[in-house]
Parts: sequence; C-alpha cells; structure tokens
Amino acid sequence: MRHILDNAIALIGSVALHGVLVALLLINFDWGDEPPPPVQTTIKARIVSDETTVSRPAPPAEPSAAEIAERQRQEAAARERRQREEAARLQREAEAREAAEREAQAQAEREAQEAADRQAREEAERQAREAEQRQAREEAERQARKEAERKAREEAERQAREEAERRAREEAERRAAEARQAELDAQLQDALEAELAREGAIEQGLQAKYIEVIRQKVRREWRVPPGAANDIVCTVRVRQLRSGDVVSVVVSDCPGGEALSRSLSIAVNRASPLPPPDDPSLFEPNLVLRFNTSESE
Amino acid sequence: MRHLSEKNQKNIMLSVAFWRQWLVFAGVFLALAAPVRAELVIEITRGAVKPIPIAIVPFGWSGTGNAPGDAASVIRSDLYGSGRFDPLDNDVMLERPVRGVDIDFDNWRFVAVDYVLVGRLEEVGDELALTYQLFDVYGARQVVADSLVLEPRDLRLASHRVADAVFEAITGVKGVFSTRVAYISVSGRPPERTYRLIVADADGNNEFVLLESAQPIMSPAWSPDGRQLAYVSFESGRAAVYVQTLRTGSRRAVSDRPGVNNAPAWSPDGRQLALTLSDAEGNLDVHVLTLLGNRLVRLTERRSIDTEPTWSADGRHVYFTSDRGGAPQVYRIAANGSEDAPERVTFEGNYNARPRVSPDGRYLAVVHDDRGRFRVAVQDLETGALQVLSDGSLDESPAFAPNSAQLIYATRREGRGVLETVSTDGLISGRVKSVGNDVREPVWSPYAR
Repeated sequence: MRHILDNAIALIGSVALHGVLVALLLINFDWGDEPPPPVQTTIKARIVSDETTVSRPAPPAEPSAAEIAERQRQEAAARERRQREEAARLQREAEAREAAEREAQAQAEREAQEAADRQAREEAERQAREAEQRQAREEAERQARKEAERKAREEAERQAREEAERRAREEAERRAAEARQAELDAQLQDALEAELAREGAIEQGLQAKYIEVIRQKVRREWRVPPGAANDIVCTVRVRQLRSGDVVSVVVSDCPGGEALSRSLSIAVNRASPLPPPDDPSLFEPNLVLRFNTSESE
Repeated sequence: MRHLSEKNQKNIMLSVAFWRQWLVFAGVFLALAAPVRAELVIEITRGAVKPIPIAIVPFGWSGTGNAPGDAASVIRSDLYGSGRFDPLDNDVMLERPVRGVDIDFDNWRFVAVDYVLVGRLEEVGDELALTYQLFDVYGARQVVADSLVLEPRDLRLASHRVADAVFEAITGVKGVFSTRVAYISVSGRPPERTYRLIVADADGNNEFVLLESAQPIMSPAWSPDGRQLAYVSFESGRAAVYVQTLRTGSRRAVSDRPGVNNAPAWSPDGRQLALTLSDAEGNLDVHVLTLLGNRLVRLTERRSIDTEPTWSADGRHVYFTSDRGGAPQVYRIAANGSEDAPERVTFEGNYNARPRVSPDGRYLAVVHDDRGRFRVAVQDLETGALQVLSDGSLDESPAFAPNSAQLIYATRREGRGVLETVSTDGLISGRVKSVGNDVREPVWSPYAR
C-alpha cells in the first residue's frame, strides 16, 4: 500500500518536475545569450553607448544572410543541444534526487524498522530484565521467608532443648541435693568409718587410706538390691584414668546374683570420677574393692 | 493374662448363685461384681533412703486410633508405689526412644538414671503386642526384654507384669504388681451394718465385691492357686466356713459344725484347710480338714485357747496361737497330727499372736505387744530374732505378699480401720487410702498360676 502510494507520489513528482523543466526551458531561453552583467567601472559610460553594446554587440563584419541563417541554425542546434543536455541533466538530477529520496525513504524506513526492532528488543529485554528482577526478588523473599522460618524453627528447637536441658539440670541438681542429703545422713557413720579408715591408713600406709576413700565413695552410691542376702561379700575390679574417670568395672566373686553384681557396677560408675590421692605418687589405676551387703544403709 | 476374662462369666454365675443363696439365707447378698469406688490406693509414707533412679519412657503405639492405654504410666506408678524407685519425670527426658537401638545412653547418664525402660504397643489383629526392653545405663547393656501378646482389656494386667519383670531384674525380688488383695469392708452403723468381701488389684484398681452380707464376714484366705477364697460368714446366724470360686462365684460351706467354725488356712498343696473348731464345752482347738472326703484331724487337745492356725511353707507343720503358757504365744505342731505336744516358737515379750509364715519360709509375722502397743513384727525362723516393723498401736492381721518382701496389715487411724503396708526389711511403709469404710483383714493373693 505504502509502496503504491510512494510510486504515485514519485509519478506525480516526476510529471510535475517535467512540467517545471519545460517551463524553465522556455523562461531560460534568453538566459544563455545574456552576457555577464557589466562590471562596474570607474568609467561613466553613457547610456546611449551602453544601449548599443547591450542590445546589439557590434559584429566584426556584417554577416551574410546565409551566414546568419547558418549561425541561427547553429545557434538553434546549440540551443537545442543545450536544452537536451539541460533536460537530460535535469532528468538525471531528478532521477538522482528521486533515487536519493527513495534511498532516504528506504533509509528512513530501515531506520524506523530498526528503531522499532530495537525498541521491541529493548522492550523485550526490559521485560525480561524486569521478570528476572521480579523472580530474583520473589526468590529472595522466598529465601528470606524460608530462612526466617528455619531460624524460628531452630530458635524454637533451641529453646525446647534448653528448656529440657534446664529441667534435666534441675532434676540432676535435685538428685544431687538428695545425694548430698543422703551423704549428710551418712556423715556420722562416715566420720566414724573415715576415722577407722584413717587409723587403718596409719597402720597400713597411705595407699590403703586412699583406696578406702574411694571405697567409701562407691559405697555411698551403692543401692543394695532388697533381694540380696545379708553378709554377702563381692569383689569389684576397677580400672581408672589419672583423672579418676572409671574405664572399666568387673564384679567377680559375687554370690548374690546378677542384680547384686549390677548394683555394684552401677555404684562404681555413679562414683566416677573417683577421688584422687593426697599424694599423686600414690595413684593406683587398678583397684580391687570389696563390699559387704550388710554395710550399706 | 486370660484370667481376668472370668469377670463377665462370673457376673452371670453370681446372679444364679445370688438367687439360690437368697432363697436359703435371706439377708445375704452375693453382690453382682459391680465396680465400686477404689478403696485400695497405696501411698508411700516412707520410701527407701536411696531409691533407684529409673526412666520409664512413654511407650510407642502403632495401630488404629489412640493407644488403648498408657502402659508406661501404669509401670511407673507401680515402681514408684513400691517405694524403691525414683522414676524420672517425663518432661526432663532428653529423648523418647521406643526401641533399644535408638537409645543414646549419654542422654540418660546426664540425668543420672541407673536404668531406662523403653517399649511399644502394637496392634496385631484383635490382639496387642506389648514389647519392652530394660537397659543398664552405665553398662549400656540390655537387662531384660520380652514381648507379651494380650487382649486389649488385659493391658493393665500386662503392664503390671512388665513392672513385675523390671522390679525382679533390678532388685532380685519378684514384683507383686500383678497380684491382688482381698479384704473385708464394713459400712453403716449397727444394726444396719453391711459387710463386704472385696477383691482388688494390688494397685487398687478393678475392685469388685465378692460377697455382701448384713452379718459379719471374717478371715478371708486365698487358695494357693489363687482361684478360691475361704472365709467365715455369720450369715446363717453362727460362724461357718465357706469356699468360693472366683471364676464362677459358686461356693459351698465346708465347715458348718455346731459351735465355732473359724480361721481357715489353706495348706500349701491346696488340699487341706486348717481350722479352729469348738467342742461341746466351747473349747477352741486347731484341726485340719481334708477337703476331698471331708476328713477331719484334731491337732490340739487342751483346755487352753488354740486358734489362728497357719501352715509352714513346706506344709509339714501348723503354727498357731495358744494361751497355754498363760499369755498368747505362737506354737508349732506337726500337721498330720503325729505330735502330742506343740513346740513354742515365740519368746520375746508377753504377747505374740496371729502368726503367718512368709511364702519363702524364712519369716514368721506376728502381732507383737511392743510395750503396750500392738504392732506387726517378723521373726527370723532360723535365728529367732524378732524385728518390729509397724509403728501403730492397734496393728493386726499381717499378711505376706507372695514375694515375701512385703506385708499388708490392718490398723486403726482416727477411729477407723485402715490398711497399711510395710516391707519385710522394715525400710518402706505405705498407707492405703480409704474412702471412709472400715477396712480390715487384708490378705494378699498368691501369684496367678
């Protein structure tokens, strides 16, 4: 459509151009004869002589009619040639202009197309960029939400765990307090026995005292099963680290049954870490302890 | 596990028995096993100095709907109620495994428990599987484990069985949580009194009335297989000894002689009853009645009061109370009637009566006059040493639990008859919360066979 319109415009333009050219040819008819405009000189010529010069250049000689005809013919031919050349030139110029215009038009169209393409591309890119940004934003938000949830969960878990640990600690403290109470209850007896232990230590040496201190700590942790008979003696072999931490417990030679043996093993573990000797050189990693079911309260 | 299923059947049988008995003895009611308010809730008044710390982790449940019961809670209550355990509070547990492989022992060492019990309940068709594992926390070793298959209604009983096994594994003494207690409850004021013979689980649950009467009921005694109770009822106007089967509710009078028929005690083999009977002059003597064939052997022949017989663990002797020495003391005589003169057994103090021999044969429980206060004491039958266990002033009717480690007895507190428990070593005491009726003459069932 646009092409047809363009062609029509070109055609009309062309016709109009030709019309103008013809008109110009007619108007210009005299232009070529006209001599260059007189140069202003200091000479003040008179109008009369001037008129003569202008209207009728003085021929060198009076031409003949034939010569005049010939010249006129030549002049006409030259005029015609010039006119043709001029028309051709104008034609070429018009064509060139037309081509330039077409080219400009095409260029404009190309540029418009390119601009449109660029715009479209840019629009697409913008949209893509925006979509990307939106996605990124949403992803970030989602991540942030997830992170927040995770943190909240972790916080809740941490709190629950802390709460459980706090309660466990309290429970442990309660038990410890009970154990302390039990120790207080046992204090009198312990004092007596510790006295005996001290006396024994003087006789048997500091090593024996050291081992008796360990034995008493285990005894305080010992819960003799009610099913155990009185006056049953069991032997417990303990291996300990320098820190007093119990490494292994073996109950041997214990005729009171499994529950009794286990109760002693548990007591040793509960007493861990075992008390150190006053003199580090007395430390003994392998202990043999004996307990009687009748000695526990 | 199956024996509680007797109950429904018993309802029917009891109503049959009810009408038969009603026609014969107006005023005697065999009650319809209607559940009554639990009267037998034991609270520990003195526990072990060093109770054993244990964690009983809530059991897992796999099946439709909610779990049919809380086994861990029953076990926990049993162990706590024994006075020998200090169960960990559930809310301080750092983990709640239901299988041994999931236990992190550090979590349990941290809260300083010696043992941890885990378990789970699974639906298997119409039945349940109750699986448990007990671990030594320090040794990180399994101590005992089992899986019980049961009907859903027996879940409580099965839980008591688990508690029994746990108790035994740790203490070396069989648990008695799955056993029962029979006792007499008296309500109302004369002449409108009501006597009931009641049987309940050892933790006070599943209580039911075996017999209800306007006339006194006394001296209940479990048969060694736990299926029958002998007792004295005055429903006919005078004392007669009856034997009633729990499963069916059916009963018969086994001794309804003129005069006194009193204080039945089953021989360990369940074939004979030792009894106190009066002769024509009203003199009380100990006899042995062989149930099959109704053969009667008289063991004592004195003008003194010889009564309250009980059997030695081996069934060869009968211990009884006699005032032949001037004051009540416990004597012992051959159960087959081959000895003329009994042997005196108690010597400490001037009053030792109502003897009961522990099932393991080691101890004799008596009511002992402790400087004017009647208290439960046990005498070591080997050494003769007597130890007073209770601290009341009118303590009576001691009866051993089937594990010999505990006694239940009656006493009076604030003018009412109540029941109390004490461990045979004297370390642990408990009181049975009562709803207000006078309760007396408790007797602990043997283990179910």
